[in-house]
Amino acid sequence: MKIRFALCLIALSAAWQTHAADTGEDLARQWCANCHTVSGNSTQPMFPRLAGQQYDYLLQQLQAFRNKSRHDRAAHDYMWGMTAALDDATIEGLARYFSTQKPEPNPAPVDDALANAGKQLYQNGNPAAGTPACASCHGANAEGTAIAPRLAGQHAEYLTKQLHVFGTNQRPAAVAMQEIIKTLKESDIQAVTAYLQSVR
Amino acid sequence: MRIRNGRSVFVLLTLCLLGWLSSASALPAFARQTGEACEACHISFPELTPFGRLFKLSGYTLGTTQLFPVSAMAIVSDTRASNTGGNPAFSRNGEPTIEAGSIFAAGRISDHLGLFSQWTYNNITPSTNADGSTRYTGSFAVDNNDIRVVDHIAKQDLDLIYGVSLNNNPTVQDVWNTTPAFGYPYQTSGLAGTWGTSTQYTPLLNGALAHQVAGLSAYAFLNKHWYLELGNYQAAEGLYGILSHDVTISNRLEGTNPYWRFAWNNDWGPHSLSVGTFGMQAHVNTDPTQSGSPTNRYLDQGVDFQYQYLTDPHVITTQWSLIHERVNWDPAAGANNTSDNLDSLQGKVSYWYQRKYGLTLGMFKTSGSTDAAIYTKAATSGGVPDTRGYIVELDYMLQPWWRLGLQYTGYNKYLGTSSNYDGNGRNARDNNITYLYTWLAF
Repeated sequence: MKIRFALCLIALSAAWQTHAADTGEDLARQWCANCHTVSGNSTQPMFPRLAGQQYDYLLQQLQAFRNKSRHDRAAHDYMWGMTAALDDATIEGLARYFSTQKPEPNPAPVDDALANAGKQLYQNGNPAAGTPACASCHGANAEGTAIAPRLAGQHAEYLTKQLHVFGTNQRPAAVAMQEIIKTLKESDIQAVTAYLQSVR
Repeated sequence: MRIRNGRSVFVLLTLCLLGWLSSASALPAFARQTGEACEACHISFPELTPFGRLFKLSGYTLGTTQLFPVSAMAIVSDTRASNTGGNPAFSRNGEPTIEAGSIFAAGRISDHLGLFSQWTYNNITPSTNADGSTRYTGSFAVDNNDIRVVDHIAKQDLDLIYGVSLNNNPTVQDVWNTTPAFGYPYQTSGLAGTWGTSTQYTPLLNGALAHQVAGLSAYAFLNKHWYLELGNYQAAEGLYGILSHDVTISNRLEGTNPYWRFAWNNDWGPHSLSVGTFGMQAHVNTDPTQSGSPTNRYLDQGVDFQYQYLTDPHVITTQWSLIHERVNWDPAAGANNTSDNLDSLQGKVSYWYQRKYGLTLGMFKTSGSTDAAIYTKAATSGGVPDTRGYIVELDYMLQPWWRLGLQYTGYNKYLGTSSNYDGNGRNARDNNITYLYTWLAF
């Protein structure tokens, strides 16, 4: 009797497979939304804001999580598992979903003086230190380009953490950033990330 | 099934550990299934993060079905009572002890079906020797079980997780660590429990029905804010007999015993907050061996609160619950009163640094009606069940799946008084416990 009961439960569940999440959008709403929110405008600084992110960048990162070539701690702890079973079509669907969400201003407050210093660095770089203008790759308004991700409105805490990761070999695809980070002081990092969080 | 030799279990667990650490990246069944690190779902096990709550509410179905969804855990400890008074009943005081080991079958079975099934070998099942000392043997029995069928609708303006849980411990299905089954303290000394020096009287919901009942409850979690659950419990027998396998039924439920849970949850920025209520109406047979015997009618009503502040590297969490119990006694119970009340307040605040170093401060307090016929262990105070105390705990995570904890439990009042609670000069503070333990899951 007990075995029959268990078998019935399993059979019932197996027959119910058709409703499972099978598109990027379904997956985004069911699971990704828990950290990144449905609109991709995460409010938790531990998790990046994905709304309006460059499609190609999302695609590249999801693939890097899946093949474990990106191996910073957050990637290992969260994203390796989330992407392990994704096929290419689902990854494309996820990238399409978040890249087409409307980015909202980051409401977190920033220090104006710090943000102004960061703006200078972002727009003009620091030739004396060998730091190129961030805007040259990430766009004048940090909206991202075909070769670099959107940074506008991103959590300063997340950006700071990633800039430190670029100082390691944990994101091997970010070849340019691995060189640029060598030219930045900690105060530069604090300033530029404060500025980027404030960009609307 | 009974395993007589504790040493063989230890060897078995050690072999399992050594084998699995190298092959499974040191992560238990859920982690292997999802590919997530322990920290994704736990602040520090078993306390859940918002993602962990989502995983549990979704019926443990995230990830890929595993061919061998099995995990294990073991607890080894050293317990020291503040004062044994030379009583031989305090066996193994200050001695390293293998307390228990559990085997879990846990994880996704299909897109909509998952389970958490724990079976535990208790290595300190007590009995009393002729000289009054306590003898310990091992016994294997069912532990917490939670089997879920779920669905998750996620649309533009609607996020609804709904499902059914079949479980054997009221509140084991709950996802906030405020309710008894997965509430703090997450681990306490099993030896102190056998010595009879831990809290004696708490509401029925606080574990007295664990692994003796079968409950079926339907739940819904709407837009990640509103949680509603309604269920019913019955004695775990017949079709559900496996849910009380090898457990002695001490509280037998009769007929219909409704359970409810309602909570409001909000996650924003690094913050997570929940407030809620839960409760149960239970009809408990006066004779646990006799279905149909007269029943005592329990009504347990709880309120709870949780707040979590989650950043890297700082995490602060706090959980509180208050359970008010009213029992209408059947004359067969022999109570002095027709009804008694019992209130239980529990709470704690934890700070974690890098999810590795933890400090927890907790308190507990029970108070209730005076009834010498029911609270027989409180004879000196004339039947006052009141007990209150505090817990200070330091934790170090050697690995995300391996904790070393040092816990001190202090009693300010015990069975209605702070001094001479047993009539032989034993004071509440004599029951203070220093508990060093290591808990690993693999």
